[in-house]
Amino acid sequence: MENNKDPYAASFDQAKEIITQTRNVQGRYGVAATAEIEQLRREYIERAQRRIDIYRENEQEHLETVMREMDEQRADKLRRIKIAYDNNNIEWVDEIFRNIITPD
Amino acid sequence: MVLNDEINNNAEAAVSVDQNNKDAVEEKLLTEAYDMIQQSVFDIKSEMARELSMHKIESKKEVFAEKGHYVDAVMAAVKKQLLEFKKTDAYIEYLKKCVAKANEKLDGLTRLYVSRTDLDIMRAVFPDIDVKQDLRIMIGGIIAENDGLTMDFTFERKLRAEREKFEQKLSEL
Repeated sequence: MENNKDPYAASFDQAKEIITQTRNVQGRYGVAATAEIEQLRREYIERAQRRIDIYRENEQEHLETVMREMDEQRADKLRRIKIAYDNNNIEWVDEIFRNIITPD
Repeated sequence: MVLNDEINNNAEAAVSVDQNNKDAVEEKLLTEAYDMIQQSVFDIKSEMARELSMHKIESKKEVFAEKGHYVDAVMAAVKKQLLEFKKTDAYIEYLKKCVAKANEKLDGLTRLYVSRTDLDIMRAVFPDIDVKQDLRIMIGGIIAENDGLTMDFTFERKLRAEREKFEQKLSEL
């Protein structure tokens, strides 16, 4: 029966078949691509989040170190002021008093 | 044969288009991830800078307050000595020196301002000068005036100046 078919009609049928097959291929790729993209997105986001977490951890550590140093410097400064006061407060008072009672 | 080629070409084209799309999507996802990292880094830096800045301010406040206690203690002791000094003859000598100096610098004196407690003694010591009370003078010293020009020899002014110098001195420790 097929052999007796009008060659133009046969070509038309074949063309329809091509379109159908092509659409099927595109459809399959489309579905596959969407799932693949989602998977890729998840991976990239997870990798980015890991880097961000590491960065935050490092920065937090650095911040704590800087703040600790700052606290030590402050404690040291307060210690120095206290020692200076304990050793010199009488002299300081006398010196300031003398400066005041000396006419400018 | 021609039609088979057509099928193959279309299929290849579909695959090629898909590969190009995949590359473009991958590029877009990479950019999204990069932007996400950049934004987070910026946020983290800002947050840390804010935290550090607050810590610095708190730290400075604490040092400032502690220094303030020592400055207050020293200045209170100085004030106590000044009040004792006021009870002595040396104080009157001091006032005389201030008046002489003001007289010289201002080229004469028309008026003296003193504290309430010094009013009588100053009027007695300087009968030729108009001596008035000035409520701003609480501890001692004088403000001398001649033709609108004044010189401030009050303990209050000197205490303020000495306090500033002393605060500076403590900051340099």
